[in-house]
Amino acid sequence: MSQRASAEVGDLAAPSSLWDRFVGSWAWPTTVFVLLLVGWEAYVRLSGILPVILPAPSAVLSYMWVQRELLLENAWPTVLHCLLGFVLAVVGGIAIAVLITQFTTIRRGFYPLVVGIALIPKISVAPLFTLWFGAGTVARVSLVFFIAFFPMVVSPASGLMSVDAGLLRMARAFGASRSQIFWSLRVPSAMPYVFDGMKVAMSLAVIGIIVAEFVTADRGLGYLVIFATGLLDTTMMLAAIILLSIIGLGLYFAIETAGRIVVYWRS
Amino acid sequence: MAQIEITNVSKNFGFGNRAVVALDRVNLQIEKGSFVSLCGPSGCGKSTLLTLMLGLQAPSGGEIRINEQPVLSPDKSIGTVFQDANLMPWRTVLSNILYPVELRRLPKAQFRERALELLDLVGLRRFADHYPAELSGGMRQRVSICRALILDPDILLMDEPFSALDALTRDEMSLELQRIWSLHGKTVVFVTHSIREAVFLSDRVVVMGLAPGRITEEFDISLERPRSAEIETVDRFNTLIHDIRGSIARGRIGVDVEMERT
Repeated sequence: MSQRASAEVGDLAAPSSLWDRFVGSWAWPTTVFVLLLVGWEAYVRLSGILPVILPAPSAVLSYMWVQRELLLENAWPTVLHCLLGFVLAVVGGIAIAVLITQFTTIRRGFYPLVVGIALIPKISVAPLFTLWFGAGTVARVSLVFFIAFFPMVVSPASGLMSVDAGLLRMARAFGASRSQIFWSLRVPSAMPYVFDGMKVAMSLAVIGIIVAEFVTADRGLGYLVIFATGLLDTTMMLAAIILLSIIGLGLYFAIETAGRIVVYWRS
Repeated sequence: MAQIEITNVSKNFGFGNRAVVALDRVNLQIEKGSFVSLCGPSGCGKSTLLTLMLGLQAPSGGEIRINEQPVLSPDKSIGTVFQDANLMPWRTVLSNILYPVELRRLPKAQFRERALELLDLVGLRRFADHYPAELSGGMRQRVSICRALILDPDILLMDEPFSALDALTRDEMSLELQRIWSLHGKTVVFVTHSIREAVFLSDRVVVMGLAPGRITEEFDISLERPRSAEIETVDRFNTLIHDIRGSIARGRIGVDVEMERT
C-alpha cells in the first residue's frame, strides 16, 4: 500500500514526460559530458591554440591508445603503492580506533595527539619522508599511509561509540558481557562509519601517491606527469591525469560497492 | 514466599545537596503467575524499579529477591520488553529472537524450533527471515516479545512496551499480550502510563507517586478473564479507572506540597 502511495506522490512530483525521464537517468550527464568534449575539440580546432598549451581531446585519446603500454606500465606501481598504503592505513587506523574507544587511559593520552597530528598539512612532510625512508617504495607507501590514516581512526572510532542507547540497554538486560557487546553491537554499528572513512581515505591515498611520485620516483603516473612537464608534452600529461582520474574513480566505486554489500541493512 | 520480594528498596542518584531520591523504601510482593502493573506520573521511579529488578543497577538500600535469590546481575529467569523494540537492523527476525540464546552461550539449533513456535504465537512465522526494517512498529514489538520469551523465563518485565504504537495497534497488542500470558502463565510486571491498559491487563495495579518515588496505593483488579474490548461497558472497569486516576493525581500533588515546604 505504501508503495502505491509513494508511486502516486512520485507521479505528482514528476509528470514523466520523455524529457523528464531523460534528465533523470544516466543518459543526461553522459550527454553533457560528450557535449563538453565536443566543445573542447571544436575550440582547439577553430582557435588554432598550440597543442603544447591545450591538445585536442581526440589527440589525447589517440595518444592513450597508442601509448597504452607505457601508461599501463606506469599505472601498475601507482595502483600497487596506493593500495598498499591504503590497506595499512585501514588496518592500522581501525586498530587504533578500537584501542582508543575501549581503553579510557589510551583515549585520554592519545586521542588529543591524534587530532593534533591530523591537522598537519600532510603533503608538506613528503620531502621529510624521502629524507628518512630514501627515494624508494617505502617513502611513497609511508606517505600514502600517513595521509590516509587519520580518517581511518576518527571515523571508525565514532562508529564504535555510536551504538544506539536502546540496543545497549537491551543487550545488558539480556546479560551481555563487555566483549559480547563489542562484537555483537559495536562492530556492526561501526560498519557504515568504517566505509565512510574508507571512501575519504581512498581519495586521500590517491592524492598521497601522486604527491609522493612528484617528489621522488622513476616510475608511476605521478612521475609521468612531472616527466611530461619537463618535455612540454602536454598530451602525455593529460593522458596520465585522465588515467589517474579513472583509477581514482574505479577505486572509489569499488569501496562504495563493497560498502553496500557489507552494510546491507542501510538502504 | 512471593516470587518477587521487594523489601525497603531505596535508590538515590548523585551525592550531597544534589542527591535525588528516585525510590524511597519501596515494598512490593509479586506472586508467581500474576500480572502486575506499575502506574504513575513520569519521574515516579517505575523505570528505575525495573532497572533494579533486572539487576542492571544495585539499590542504595533494601533488597530485591527473585525466586528467593538476591538480584545481583541480569538473570535468564527474566525476559524484558522495552518501549522500543530495540531489534538489531542487521539481523533477521529469527536471529534477533535468538540473541539472548547467543549471549548465554546456549546451543542455538535447539532454540530455533522454539523461536519459530513463538513467531507462530504472534502470527509472524512467515517473517522469520525478514529484516526489522521490513516490519511495522506493532510487528517489531511482537518480535521483541518473542525475544523476551525465548529462554522461557519465569518473569516478563515490560517497560511501557506499547507506548510507541498507535492507539489501534496498542489495543490489539493488549489483547495479544493477555492471550500469551494466559497460555504461558508467566509473571508479568508491566510499566505503563495508560491506566486503561493497566486495568485491562492486570490482576493488580500498583500506583506510584512522586518526590520521592514511592508506592502510594494498590488496587486489586478482580475482573473476570479472559477480558475483551466489551469490558469497557462494565461499570466496575470504569470505576477502577476513575479511582486509579484519582489516586495518581493525589500522588502527583505530593510534589507541590514538597515544594511549598522547601
